[in-house]
Amino acid sequence: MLEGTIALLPEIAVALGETFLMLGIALTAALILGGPLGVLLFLTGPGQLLQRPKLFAVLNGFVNLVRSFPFVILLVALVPLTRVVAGTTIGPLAASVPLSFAAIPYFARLVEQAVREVPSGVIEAAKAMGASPLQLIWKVLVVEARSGLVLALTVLAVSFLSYSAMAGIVGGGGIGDLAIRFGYYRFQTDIMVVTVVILVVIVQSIQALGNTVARRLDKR
Amino acid sequence: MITLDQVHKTYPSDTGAIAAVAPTSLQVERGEIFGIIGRSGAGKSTLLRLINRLEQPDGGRVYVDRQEITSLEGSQLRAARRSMGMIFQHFNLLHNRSVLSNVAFPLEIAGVSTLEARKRAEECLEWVGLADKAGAYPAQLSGGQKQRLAIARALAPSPKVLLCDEPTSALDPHTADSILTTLQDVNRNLGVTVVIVTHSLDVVRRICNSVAIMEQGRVVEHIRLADLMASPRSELGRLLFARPSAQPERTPTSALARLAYA
Repeated sequence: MLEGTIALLPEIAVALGETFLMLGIALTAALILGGPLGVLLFLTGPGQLLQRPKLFAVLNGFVNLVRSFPFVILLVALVPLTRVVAGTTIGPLAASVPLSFAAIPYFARLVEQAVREVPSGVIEAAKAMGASPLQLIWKVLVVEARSGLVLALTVLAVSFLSYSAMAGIVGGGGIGDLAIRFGYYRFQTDIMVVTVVILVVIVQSIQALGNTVARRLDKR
Repeated sequence: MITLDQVHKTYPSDTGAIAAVAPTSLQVERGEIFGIIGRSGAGKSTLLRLINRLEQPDGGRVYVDRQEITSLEGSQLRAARRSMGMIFQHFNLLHNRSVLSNVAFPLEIAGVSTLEARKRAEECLEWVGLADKAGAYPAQLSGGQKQRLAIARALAPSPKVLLCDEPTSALDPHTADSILTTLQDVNRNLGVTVVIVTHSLDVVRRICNSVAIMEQGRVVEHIRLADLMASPRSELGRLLFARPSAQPERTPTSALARLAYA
């Protein structure tokens, strides 16, 4: 078991790099685009500050639509978009396009739920103090929901680590792809075990880090 | 100080529109403590929220310190809200901010420099007796301390008016009493006009100069307490100034009813 693993160490290192690249891009896209989308989803919802039924229906429908796709299908269906955005349809950069596309609405929904935990009375109090909508978002919603938002990002990271394993279909590589190619297709059980152990360690670390940060930030 | 001119508000519902506040006109004088009393659902909280437009009136006008609040939009409305402090039954503090930072918050969003905001916040905390808690978080405070913190936060931008929505309903009688004393200090020493929504006759008797009684969205009576004492013939007068044994809210059943309200 050791020999086979040692022989594959360079491959494992490259795969780890690919995994973190894909995850990094998808999480960044989710934070930058999914975060605001989630806040907007919350604010335009029924009975909320910027209540806009039509806009809410469109956003809500879009989030549900993207989230209904099994990721493998999205991966293939988005090939034309991938070609435009990444300039290629193979490799980890190409795989990052559908990953980001799926991560944005996924994170938006998690953000919406986290922000919903902020008591409406606190929002009302901030309004009564003359807070503008932007101040309300940045200084009240984000600050008061911050530990929930960190946990949302943690859930997203773990889910998309797992999603990235499917990136092999478009030649994305990564640690999960390695497990499928060597461990599954070539019946190299040792490689399978090693890669799965690596994935388990990564997931445990992400979750432990997320929990610690969330706990430190929570003063409630 | 505050003038309500035929303001009204209805909510849509399954069985048609419900009038939360029927067209109502009221006058709150500068420097007084004005009580709005009534049962749950009588529209008192809605009426209070019409003053700073947390509730949008369907019609009528609201003036605060001669400024028409009902005609303001956007940043003008936000500026006007800064001249009105507000405190709530459940305090509504910012849990992830320290005590000091909670008080500095209204100044921060008004664009006051960090240093100045901090200085003013320390002053206000001193004033409500929480100076030693500046670095704590709201979760570490008792109910009474939380309401004091809320008062300090409301006072930070030096408001002319303090709106209070059931400020003592979530507190035990002893703590409630000390909060009422603080509100009285705010009124007497800082010259802030106080409007207080309550369902407790005790609160009215203890600190109010005037009181409006609401029933089903209408103000059914509006009187100065001084006049009441001169001619305690009205229903309210009897309730407020009758001998202790005859005070209905001191009887066990009413006490239970009040617990149910809270």
